Amino acid sequence: METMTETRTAVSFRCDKDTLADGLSTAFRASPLKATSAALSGVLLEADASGVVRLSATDGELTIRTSVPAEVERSGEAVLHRLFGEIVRSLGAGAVDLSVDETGVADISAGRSHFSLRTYPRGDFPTLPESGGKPVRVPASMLPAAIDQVVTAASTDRGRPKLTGVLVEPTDSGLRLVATDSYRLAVREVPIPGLLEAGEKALVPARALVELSRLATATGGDEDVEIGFGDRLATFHAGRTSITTTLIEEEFPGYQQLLPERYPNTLEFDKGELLDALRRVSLLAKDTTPVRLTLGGDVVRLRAIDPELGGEADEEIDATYSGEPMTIAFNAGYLRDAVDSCGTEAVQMETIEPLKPAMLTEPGSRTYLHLLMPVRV
Amino acid sequence: MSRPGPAYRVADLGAPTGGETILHVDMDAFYAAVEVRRRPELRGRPVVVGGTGTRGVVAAASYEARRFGIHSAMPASRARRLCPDAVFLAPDFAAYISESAAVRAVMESYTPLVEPLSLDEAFLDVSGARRLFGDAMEIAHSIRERIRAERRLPVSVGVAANKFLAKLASREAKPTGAGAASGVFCIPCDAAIRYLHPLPVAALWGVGDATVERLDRIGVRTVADLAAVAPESLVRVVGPAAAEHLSALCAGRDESPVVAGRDAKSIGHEETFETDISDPDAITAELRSLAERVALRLRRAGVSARTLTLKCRLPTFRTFTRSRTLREPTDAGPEIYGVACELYDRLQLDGHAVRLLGVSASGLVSGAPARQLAFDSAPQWSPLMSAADAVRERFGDRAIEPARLLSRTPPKGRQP
Repeated sequence: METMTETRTAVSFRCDKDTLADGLSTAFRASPLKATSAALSGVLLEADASGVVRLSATDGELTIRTSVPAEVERSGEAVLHRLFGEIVRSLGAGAVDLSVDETGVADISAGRSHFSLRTYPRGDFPTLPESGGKPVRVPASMLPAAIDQVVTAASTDRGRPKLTGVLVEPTDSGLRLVATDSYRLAVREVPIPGLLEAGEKALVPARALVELSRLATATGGDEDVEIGFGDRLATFHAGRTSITTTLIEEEFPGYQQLLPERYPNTLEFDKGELLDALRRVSLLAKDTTPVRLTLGGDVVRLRAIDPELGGEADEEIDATYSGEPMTIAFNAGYLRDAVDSCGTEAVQMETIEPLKPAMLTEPGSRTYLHLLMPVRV
Repeated sequence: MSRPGPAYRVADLGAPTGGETILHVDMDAFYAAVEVRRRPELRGRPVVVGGTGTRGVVAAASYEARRFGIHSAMPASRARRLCPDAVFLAPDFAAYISESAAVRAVMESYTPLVEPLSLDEAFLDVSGARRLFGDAMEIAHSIRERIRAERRLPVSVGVAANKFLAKLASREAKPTGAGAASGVFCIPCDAAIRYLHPLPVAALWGVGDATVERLDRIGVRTVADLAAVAPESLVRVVGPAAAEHLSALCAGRDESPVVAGRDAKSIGHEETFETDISDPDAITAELRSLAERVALRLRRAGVSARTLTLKCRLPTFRTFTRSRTLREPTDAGPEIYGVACELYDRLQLDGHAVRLLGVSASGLVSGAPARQLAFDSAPQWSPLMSAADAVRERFGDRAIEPARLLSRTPPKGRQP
């Protein structure tokens, strides 16, 4: 290790504790939980004489870079262990001093607390990607609700990479976001024009969009987020933070043919009432015993049976229904996600028959569609 | 659950001789009866259980519904056409399972030798119970009365000298049979042949459509015809093992014991081979056949299984069992077959000869397994199975089999 010391630059800066802790927790959101070496899951600090410290972390797919204002005494860079974030967060309010000596040991001091932590060679940390694409300014307020609606439908199964992404494609008047894990499909129209040319599309990891939603929320109401789509990368930038993600280079499944042309049966109910009833009934809805909805008349009946337990739960809520009486069953968690994702007080559910997908929408609007496959019982 | 009986007249068979010690207790339209019991307003109306939901097959039909030609495993759409006024109810397997246990408890208060065949039927050996409870006929009437009084469910009881005859007798005891008046019917030992001879050969255990056809080609249609065939000719037509089996049944003989204590919470099949098998293709074909049969019985009992067990016996009688518990219960043959193969591979017997193979399903839960449907659903076995089950129900268990089983010669019985 001694032979490496001359390749390192000693660093020294002072920063507000809360500011540094926030910056680190933002950056660490991109850091892999499981990595083959501690450096890969660490954070790169770059102290600049202009008075900022840049913080970067990456898992190779998602990269988050942010910066915090600091009094930089000696500019330079260092790679620190994940634990650095926890150390800073645990310190008392006030200033934090960090310095890395010539042997690569970092000293972290605040008030009467002192930590020393060895750093890692810069070469052990990945090269960070360039930014993707020409940035387009988008009002931050338009993003979180739309993103949050679709990402729940994306798969978390890494064995099916294309389903872990959200398809972003242009429409006549803006963008469409689409996600599916093959059991449910969420489609959301967003009136943001100019982000993609006709014919272009991008498959963005749902994880990265969750970060974009978080970034847009943190940015606040009337500010903009810059979004740039490149061939293989996308970058989202707002304030001091930029998120870069690789795009999934797979073909998203053709979802249009999944959307049935017409639904003969329409149910409308109060979102809160249904979620409350569902929460109670779900106590008896295990993996193999879904929640059955009986549609017909002025109520919708929710029912779950657990034969092993010898238990049954049954609840009715008011609803309006037009169509054939029928019973259709859903996985309780998927149904909750679907209902919860609708942004209105009333939720509309359209059905065809018990083994065909049901479609949940916000009444009177086709801006958001949530298609849910039932459970065969 | 039973197929409609053939049209024939039952002559007066005379009084029991005292040698009739086996009972076949068969609930009448069990699922429908349980439903009618809790909804008395349905009494006297055609009631169909199943066919409301998505599987679209009748699970049980009340006798009122059967009069319209509705029977179990019939597609619901057909049942609705036959009787548009029938009341269609979703099956409540939890209720049937617990009711079945209550009924079994009644039977077990007479003898521990109770062998359940499914939720709604069981064999009893009452030879040891006669001293306490009177002769078999008295026990039969007593059990029937108690189930009617305590469980408020109708039941028919067949009494005979063995399981084969007792099962035929219970059919006569049904509301549609010759012994309907009392709900108990006895085939006395000395009348067995007289009773059997007019029956079509299909009434014999183990005679499926293939055998019926083969026998038909040599002019054999009734049991009497079969009894008249020279033994050598019969061997030529159906093979030695089946010939022996058929000859015994023609004579009203069946030695198979009532096996009590069989864990009613599992459903299984095993096969002892006439000659040990070692060919991997033959072994996988056997596993597939066993898996399909277990799956069919699961579906008929209206349950799915969480745990699958493979049993394998070598010619040395060394016996292995291996089990696997599934994430979600199944009643599908292909799935059971897949697990059976996996368990077999785990034994690493490569090339070793096998004397016996068995597949059993336990951890039973009521109802068909719920399955989350997907947009890109892999083949959904369920509709296929329902259709195949309906065919089996009409034409016999061997009427539809996976293609791989077609080349396989039926295994011959040999005691394990």
